[in-house]
This record gives sequence, C-alpha cells and structure tokens, in this order.
Amino acid sequence: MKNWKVLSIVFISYLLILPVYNTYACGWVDFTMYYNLFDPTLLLTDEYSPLFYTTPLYSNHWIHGSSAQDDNVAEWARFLLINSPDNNIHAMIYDTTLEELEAAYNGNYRGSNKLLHYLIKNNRKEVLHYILFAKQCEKYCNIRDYWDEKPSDNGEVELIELGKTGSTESKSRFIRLRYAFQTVKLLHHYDRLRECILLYDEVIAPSGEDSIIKYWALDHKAGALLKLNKRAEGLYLFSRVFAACPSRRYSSFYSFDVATQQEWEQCLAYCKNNDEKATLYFLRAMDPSSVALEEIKSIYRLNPAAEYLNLLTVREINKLENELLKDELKDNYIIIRKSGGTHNYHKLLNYLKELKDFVNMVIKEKPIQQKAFWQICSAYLDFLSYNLKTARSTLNSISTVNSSYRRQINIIHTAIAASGLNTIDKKAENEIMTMLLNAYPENIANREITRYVLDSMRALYTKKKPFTYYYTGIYDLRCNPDQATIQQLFDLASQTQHTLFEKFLLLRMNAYFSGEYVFSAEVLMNKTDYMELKNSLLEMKAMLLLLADEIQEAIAIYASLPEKMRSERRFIDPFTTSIHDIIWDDYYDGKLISRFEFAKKLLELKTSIKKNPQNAHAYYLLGNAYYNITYFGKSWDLVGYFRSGSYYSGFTDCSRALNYYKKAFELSKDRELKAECCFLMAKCRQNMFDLEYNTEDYGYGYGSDKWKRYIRENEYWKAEELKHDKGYREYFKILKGAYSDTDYYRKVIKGCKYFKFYASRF
Amino acid sequence: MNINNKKLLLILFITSLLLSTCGKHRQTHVCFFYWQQNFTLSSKQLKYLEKLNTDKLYLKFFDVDWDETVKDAVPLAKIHFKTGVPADIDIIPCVFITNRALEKITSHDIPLMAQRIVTLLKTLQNTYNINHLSKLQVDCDWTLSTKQKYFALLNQIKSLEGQLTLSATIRLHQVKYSDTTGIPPVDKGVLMFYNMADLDDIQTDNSIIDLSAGRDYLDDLPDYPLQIDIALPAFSWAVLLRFDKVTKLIHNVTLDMLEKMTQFEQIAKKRFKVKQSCYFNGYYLYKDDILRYEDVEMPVLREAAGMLASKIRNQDLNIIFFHLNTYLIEEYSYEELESIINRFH
Repeated sequence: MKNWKVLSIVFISYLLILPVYNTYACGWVDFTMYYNLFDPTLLLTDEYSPLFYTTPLYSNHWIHGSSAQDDNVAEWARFLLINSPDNNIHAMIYDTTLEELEAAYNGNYRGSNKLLHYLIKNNRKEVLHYILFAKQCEKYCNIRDYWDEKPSDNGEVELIELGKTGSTESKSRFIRLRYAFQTVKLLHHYDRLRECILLYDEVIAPSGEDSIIKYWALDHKAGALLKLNKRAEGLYLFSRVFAACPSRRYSSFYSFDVATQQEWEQCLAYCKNNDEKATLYFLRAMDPSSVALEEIKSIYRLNPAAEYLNLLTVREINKLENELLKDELKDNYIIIRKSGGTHNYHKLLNYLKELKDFVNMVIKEKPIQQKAFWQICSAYLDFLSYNLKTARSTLNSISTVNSSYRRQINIIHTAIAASGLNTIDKKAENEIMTMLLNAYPENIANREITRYVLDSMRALYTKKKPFTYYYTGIYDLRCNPDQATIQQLFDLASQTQHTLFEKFLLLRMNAYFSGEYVFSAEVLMNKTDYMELKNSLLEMKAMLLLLADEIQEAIAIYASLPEKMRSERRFIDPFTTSIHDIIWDDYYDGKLISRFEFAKKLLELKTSIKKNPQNAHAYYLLGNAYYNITYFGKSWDLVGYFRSGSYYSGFTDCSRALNYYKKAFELSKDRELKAECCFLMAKCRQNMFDLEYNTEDYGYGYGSDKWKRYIRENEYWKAEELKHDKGYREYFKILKGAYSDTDYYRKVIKGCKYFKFYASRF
Repeated sequence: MNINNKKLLLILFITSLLLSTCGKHRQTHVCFFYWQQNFTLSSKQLKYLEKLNTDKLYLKFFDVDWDETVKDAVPLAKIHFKTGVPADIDIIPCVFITNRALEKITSHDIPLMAQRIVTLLKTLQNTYNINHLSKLQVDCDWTLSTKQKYFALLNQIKSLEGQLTLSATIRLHQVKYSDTTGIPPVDKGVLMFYNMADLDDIQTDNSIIDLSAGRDYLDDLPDYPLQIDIALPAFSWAVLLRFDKVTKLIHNVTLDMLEKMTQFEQIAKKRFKVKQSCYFNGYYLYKDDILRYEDVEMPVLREAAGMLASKIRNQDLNIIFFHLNTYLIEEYSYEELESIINRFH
C-alpha cells in the first residue's frame, strides 16, 4: 500500500526536472510570474500565514519560527514559578550539553546557567533528573544529521524503562507528563508502536495537565497508528493536532494524507462535532492542486462561521489570479480581453464564476458587519473576469473601518483604473498616481500594484518618451547607453513641471544614485530636483563622447560636474600594459585614474602627436589606452558600466588600438618597443578572431581561463591552427622571425602560452 | 591462381565468416529495477525471476534531494528490507540524486556528499547483510549547469571506493547531445529508453514511450564512448490533467482499474473524465479532471528492442526492466519478456 507513495516521491522528483510552471496545480510558488494584487496579509490573520498561497514554501514561521521552543519554555517558567522572561530556561533545555547536565545532577556544575545553579541549590533533583533524561533521549530521537542512522546500541531500551518509571512515579504531574512524552517519542522512533499508543492512552490522555506536550505526544501516537495501518484513526488524530497545536502544525499537516474514500469516511466518523469535520475538509483542500470550492461548500454547510472559509477562499482567488493575471502580458487575461484577443481560460473562468456565485450567496446570508471581506472577494473576482464596472460598484458599496481591508479596496480600485485606461495624458497620469498613493501613502515602491500600474501604462505610451529606461531603470540605460535617450531624459529631468507619474519615474531613477527609495505621497509632492540623475546622465554623455573621439566636449562636461563625482571613482591606469589581460583584478595596487584625468591625458597625447608625428611613445600609450578600454582590457569600466560574462558587450573594437600600435611599431627605433608592439598587435588580432568566430572566451581572472579551457578539453591546437590559417598570427610571425633576440621576446615566450605554442608549432 | 590472390581470398573468407557471426553471440541478462522503499519479494515474483534467470536486481537504496528547511542535501526513502534477497541474485544498489540537490550544493560540498553516500550505502548493506559494495549505480538527470558538480561527485565516489564498478543512468538527450552534456566518468552507462515525449503537453498520448521521438536520439548511440546497458519501461501511470494542465502522476494504475470506476467516464481510448469527485489510488480527484492513461504495450516494447539491438555494441548486455512490482508481473508474462530479450540476440 505504501509502494505508490514511494514511487510518488521518485516520480515527483522527475517532475522537478521539468521546467517549473505556475499552473493551477501548484500551491505555494517560490517566485512570481503574475501580479499578486489580492493580498492575504491584508485580509487574514497571521495564524495560518504559512498556508497562504503567497507564502514561500520553505520560509515561514512553522518551519523557522521558535514557537515550539517558546511555548515549551513558557510552560517551564510557569512550572518553576519564574515570572520574568528568562533565557536561562531556554539555555538549560536546548543549549546545555549532556556533560553539563550530568555535572548539574551530580552537584558539581561549574557553568554559567543561573537556573541550573538555582535547581542544584534548592535540591530540585527530580527536575534535574528529568532534564538529564531528556537530553539523553536526544541522541535516539532528535535528528541532527539526516545521513546518520538511528543508534543501534540498544541504549534506548534502558531509557524507555527509565521513562516509563518516571511517567508514573515522579512526584510532579508536570514532570510525569514530560517523562511520558519522551518515552512515547522513543517508543515511536524504535517502532515499539503498541507500547507507544498504550503509554499515551494510559498516562498522557488522562493527565489533568494543560500542556502542549500532550499534543506533541499525540502527534507520535498518530504516527504510530499509521504505521500499524490504523490509518483512519491516525489521520483523524493528526487533524486534531493540527487544529489545536500551532507548534506541531507543520508535521501534522504533512502527515495528513487520506488515500481512499473508505479512509475518508472513517476519519469523518471519528469526528465529535462539525468543527472537527471542518478541519478534515480544510486539510484536504490544502493540497496545492485542489479545486477547493467543493471543500469550501462542505465547510460552509458544517459551520458558516468557520475561519477556514476565509483562508480557503483567498487561496482559491490567489490561484485564479496566478493563472489569469500573468505578468507575461500575452497570457494576461485582462490584456487579452482588452485587446479582443482569444484565450484558453474558459474552464478557469467557469470555475471563477462558480466561486463568485458562492461568495455572493455568502454575502446575502452574512450579517452586515461580516460582509466586507466577502464583498472584497466578490469585487476582485469581478475584476479578474474583466467585469470592471461591477467590480467598482461592489467596492464602492463596502462599508468598513478596517484599515487593511480599506487598503485592499484601494488596491483593487487602482487595478481597475489601470486596466480600464485606453489612452494616456497628463490628467490620467495624475489620477492613477493619486489612486496608487491612496493605497500606499507611506511608500509605493516595491508594491505589486505599482508594478501593475507601470506595466499597464507602458503599453499606452508612444516612443515620444524614453520609457524603456523609465521602467527598467537607470541600470539598463547604463548597460546600453545612447545619446538620444540620455538627452531626452536629461531634458525631462530639467523641466520645472511634472506630472505625478513623471515625478515618480524620475525619482525612481534618481534613487539609484541617491539611495532614497521611499516614494511616499509627501516625497512625490515635495521633491523637485533630480541632481544625482542629471549629473549621471551627463557623465554617461561624456563617456559616449570620449568613445566618439569628441574629447574636448567630453572634458567640458566632466569639468561641469561636482568635484566629488569627477574624482571619486578611479580606475586602473589604461596607459600601461601587460602580457595577460586581467579583468576584475582584486590585487591591483598600481596607479588609478579618474575619467576626467583619462580624457585630459588622451587629449594631451593626441595633441602631442599633432605637434610631433614621429612620437612613437605617444602612439604606444594611445594604443595601450584604446586597448585597455575595450571589453578585453583591464580598464573597460572607464568607458562603461557593465561588462557581460556571457557575451561580448560594450566597446569591443580593437582596431583603434591596433592602428596606434602599428604607428608606434613603424616609428620606433627601439627594438624592445617594437617587439612589444608586435605582441600587442597580436593581442588585438586575437581578440578580433574571438569576435569573428564567437569563441565565447570571456576570460576572467588571472592568466585568462581561455588557455585553461583549451588544455582541459585538449582542443587548443585546433583553435590555434585556425588562428594561424586565417591569418590572425601575422604579428607573432614577425615577433618570432625578427625579435627573438630581445628581452621582451624572452619575457613573452615564458609568460604567454599562446605565443609559446605558436613559436613551437609554426 | 597466384599466391597473392589466394591470400586475398583467404582474407575475404575469414572476414565474411567473422561478419556473419558478429552479434549472434551476445550475452544478455534479464534484470529489473526495484524502486520501492520496502523491499519484499512475493513467491510469485520470485518464481517470475527464476523463470527469467534473473541474476541482477537494481535496488534503489535511497534518494538524495535538497531539503530547504535544513539547507542541505539529505537522503530520503531509505530502503527497508522486509524479506531477504535470493542468494543467486546480485544486488546493485542505486542512488537517485535530484538535479535540484546538485544545483544547490556547492563544489566544496562534493567530497562530503560522496562520503555520505558511500557511508550510508555501507551502513545499509551491513544492516541488512547485503553483499559488500562492489557495484553502484547513480541515477541523475544532470543538466549543463550541474554537469561539473555531478561528474566531480562521480569521480569522488570512485576515488573513495577504488574497486567499485560505477554505472550511471543516461537519458536519450544526453546521448544525442553528448558534446555538450558530457560523458559521465563511470565504467558503464544505462540508457533509459523511456520518458521521451512531453509529459506536459496535453496533446501527448504517451509520454513514457514514443518510438518516433526515440528513434531520433539513437543515431549517436553506437559511437557513445561508454559501454551501455539498456533500461526498458514496463510500467504504467495515469497523468492527471486539471484545467488543461498536468497536475500529478498516479502510479500503479491499470486500464482495468480506470474502466471499473463508476465515477469515471471513458472519453477516448485511454482517457477518462471524472464525473463525480472521488478518491482514486491515493488521490482525491475532482469533477471534470481528466486522466490520461499511459502504458507500454508489447508490440511497442518489441519494436523498441529491435531498434536498440542494432545500435548497441555491448556484447554482454544487461537489459533492465523498470520496474519490478505487482503490475509488471501481471501485465507482462515472462514469455513476453523473454521475447523482448531475444530481440537482442
């Protein structure tokens, strides 16, 4: 019977290798591919927040929270009559070692835990003995390393006997219960299942102690029953643990897996009242792929006031939202309906209608003070099905003072407005932004509704405005700068009047530099300057002018920038060269240069060449500069903000450097410099080869990974032969043929594996 | 006839003799995967194995997957032997590693992961008195992003257990695109000749085996630089479609079971619609769900064997059926499986 479960584990893991998809089938999603405008945190209490559709599967307080430990510590504090928050209890139970507890029991504890000292001083032997016992049990029960097997030294046998004795003979009821719990746990782990159940029934169940420990033990009894194939009873008990014990909700939730109709009916038969039955339906509905309207209706019949109803309804709406409100706009139902396109959502929309009919029925039956939640659900369902008018009307009829509900209402209103926009003008921009600020007056940044509004409006704008960068931000503009866009943005930022929408977008871009990411109503109303943005745009402009050889214009712009901006950022000096091209050199400790200084130096060198065209050294320095600012050089970031590790981005043209090196080579009478220029020209040509043949060698680090990869894959000789055959090694040829007697040659044949290979092969 | 012509004739004769006998003496072994957590062999299954002269069982000892709560790769579904293993059957432990586990661990963790796998295997073998670790099969559908780590893991396992014969499962796409997917550093590969069509496509009739799709992947098989055994499918499942999307896989399902469900309506040859919500084989199905039944019929399996036989160079071939359970021995008589094996001779 369990075989299918095992196979499920295996084959669900097969599903894990498929591309991840957000289908109606999935429950929690770990990333969003849709607009989540219906926010469970605004509509529901925190108690079941790990079960919100939007809660990340592995990041919630049932898994990572400390409620189990906190609850236990609180019980100990009451038992020991300690009133103030006391970390010593927590430390005593969870952090003290076995050796320390043994010492404490033996009266020779030397540690710092005050509670242990107190217990020793007051001769609380029974307590100390129990704590020691519990710590001894950990070795056999608490999984520390999943790779370890349970100890098979039979140590649990003696502990079980001790536990049984302690659970009946301890003076304190509190301690007796805890002995019983530890023993039940041991018995369960070591498959002494009937004893586990018996001990629970005889000692724990009748205990008058009001304690979460009873539920912790019940969790084990339920597990033992499952192993004994008394599944219905076990599953029923798991549902009781789930309902009553937050610190065991995670384990009991995942243990609840009814497999047959018979089991289901038997579970229901165990239930003592409608609330217990409602929990069963709730747990069944929580399967990530459930179509939970069925369970919702069942729960409603059992108890129309059940809290589960709200959670399940919100989940169903979030599931529908996930499918219908995709942020891939071609799949977005609202966009499709707006544009009159076709879709395949008929089955989902039928289901949406059924859900809405149920919600509307509930609204009719609910007293007025409880209607608001359901009205919000109804309105949102109308929004999802593109009944915008009805949605708006329902929202306007809601009467509530609940501020979270009001926020959700405002969010939906904003979404309706954004979805209903067909043209855009200043009035529309201001209206939609006002609504957005109404929903989140404290800050509209990083909100799903903000994202929705921006994306809804993007489609409406023409190319008049540089919206690509408005939406994606300044970073993308820096990756792909162009003068026209830079100028447009600069002009916009320089205007004295802006709509709220323009202000928001400018502020967002400005925030990249200012670090001020709060976009509250107050900020949007009052902030009027975008200096950081404007200066950065000017700097980008200067960079492009440099690359276009308009150096004087570039210098003029740099000179106009604030001193801090001109000089703060410094880059590796591009006028020096090396055999290896090292990108991202963390160990560089040489000279640094600012962009302004670079531009001035370039101008100085070009001027000197005009005055003295025979200045080989000046050509050599210019060659170095133009080489090192390419994608392949160590100073690429003098003229760029982004360098890709997966394609040849930015400035890649080595021909300028090559031409300067050629001139240096021709003019120089220094054989060492000539040899060096040969090598540097060969580097230029090698880069041209990489670009031409798209070798995808984006070499990083020291010595470049190119050569390492060649050697690893034993294919280097193929690439080297191709370079030679295609004529890209002409300068290696000259270097080898005419300069083998130079110091530079000796240096480069040791330092450059490409050249060493060439020299030995050709 | 001069001496050169005689020599030539002799050479031709010997060559034709060799060619005519080539492939006829391939040794084949009928094997099975056993993929359930609780190992138990019924007398029926034992008899079945005996009739087929099965000498190997590939037993999944455990899975390795990533556990987000502890942020570590952990073993799951460790095997539990409820009955012993026949003395004349060689047990080859298998470990299934999810690609997710490889994605999440760092390269630094590889040696530890290898050590843990080997240690756990030995512990389980000692616990259940299984033959000592001389062979191991690792099952993982690695991708380009996990290739390096996976291969490093295999190398590490090998270095820990130098005498180990290590095999790895190979999927069809890893044969076809071996230039990019790489060749795992193992002694042998097992080609999984199943799961070849798009499970997620609602138009797919059978994602387990689709010979027209499978055929495309086999051209490169003769040149694959590893000795290859073959894994063939002998299982079925029902693919649950809900709102036109694949939701679950329901295992251990037969057509008969589906046909007998009064809550289902058969809407096509192997498709059923749920008329009334109900439990089925461990899952709660809702009204309007669709079940797409997929299995491997004998003619298809025969044809698959025929296709593969001509592409395999291995002369001592293990043919491993996935997987040994009640369904397999009910659906496939041992004579039928024998007929499949014979195709490889």
